[in-house]
Amino acid sequence: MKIRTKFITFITTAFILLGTSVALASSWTISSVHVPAWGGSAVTSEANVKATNSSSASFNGDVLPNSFGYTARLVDSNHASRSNTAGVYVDKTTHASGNTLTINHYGYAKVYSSNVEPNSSYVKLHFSSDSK
Amino acid sequence: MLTFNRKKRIIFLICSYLYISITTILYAKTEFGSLSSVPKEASGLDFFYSTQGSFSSALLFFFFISVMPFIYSHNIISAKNSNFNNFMITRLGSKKTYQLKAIISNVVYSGGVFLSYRILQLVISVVIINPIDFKEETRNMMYRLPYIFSMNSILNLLFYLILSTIGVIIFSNFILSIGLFLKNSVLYYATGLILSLIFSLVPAMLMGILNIKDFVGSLFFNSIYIDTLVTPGLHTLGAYAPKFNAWYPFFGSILFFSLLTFILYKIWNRFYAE
Repeated sequence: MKIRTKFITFITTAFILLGTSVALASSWTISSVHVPAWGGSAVTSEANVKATNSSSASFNGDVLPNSFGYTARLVDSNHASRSNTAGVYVDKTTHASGNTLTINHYGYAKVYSSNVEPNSSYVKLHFSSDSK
Repeated sequence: MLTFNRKKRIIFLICSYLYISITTILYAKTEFGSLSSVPKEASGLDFFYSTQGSFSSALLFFFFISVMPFIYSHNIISAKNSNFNNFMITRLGSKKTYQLKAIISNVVYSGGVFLSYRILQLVISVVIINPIDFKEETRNMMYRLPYIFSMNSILNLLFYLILSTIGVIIFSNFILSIGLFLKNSVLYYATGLILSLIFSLVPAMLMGILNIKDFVGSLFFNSIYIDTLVTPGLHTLGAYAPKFNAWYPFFGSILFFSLLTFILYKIWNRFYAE
């Protein structure tokens, strides 16, 4: 094998492995949360550790019972906002930009109901402090 | 333009600006823990969007949906119920001219006041959160796809300000058209709140009961949803991601509410106007 071919093979393999390791580094956290009615919000009790320096957080809804839908954002352990808000939808990953959480810190999902939502509900979702 | 109680209106405007400023700042404080701990990367523009519509602070949301009749149109309804409008009709020469002037005045005042509310909130968001980095915001627009007006964040903001003002004007005239049928002026003050709740709860309830997921059904129910009209391009109804951009439901809601308003004006003119 020529040196050039070896070099290209090495670079390609390195990139593939690097990409795989970045994808593996970030993870989903599955959580359920009781969201109050009339514009209430609740923070998940489970956290997700930020693994990369991604500027967005990811949310994916599993069970979203209310018709008005929900929004979510990433918050830190003091429940202070760490990202912009994003809509949460069933089986669709949405991204909240402006993720200011630093690597190796815990992120939680804060889920909001609509101000005109008359029912409280149990929401099940998975979220990540990184871009998925 | 028809002018009623200029002094009272100025006091009302000052009080409402103060209320909006305070509640917007309080909302930021709640979301970020304290204003001194707002991260440098936090987006002022996103915070502005989060103060709009049914997912914002309850204090802001219920103010915006209840304030509509108080801005101007209650003067028209009070004048109608106390027969004071007869003097103005006599002075202006015809009933048609009076009605046209009343509608135009309502359009100008409602649109102008609501646009000033939005601009005030935008300024407060920029001052207390962070200045807007439109390049970064444009990069982040892809996260909001497909429910946006434009991929360019400046254009998207401009479209939001203009279209939400148009939506407010249409809704304000819709409330006015309902108010024409009311004999009690005090009852009219509650119509903004009541109609907003009706046009929020009914489409949401029907969408839930009928388990609407398809494109046409979702577009229809989003079109009759009041949030789509007054805060377009921000939130959709339902648990499923929208498959359309923000233009379709907005035009649908303009068509629906304009048609409803037109029909109500026609009925009132034909059967009720003396």
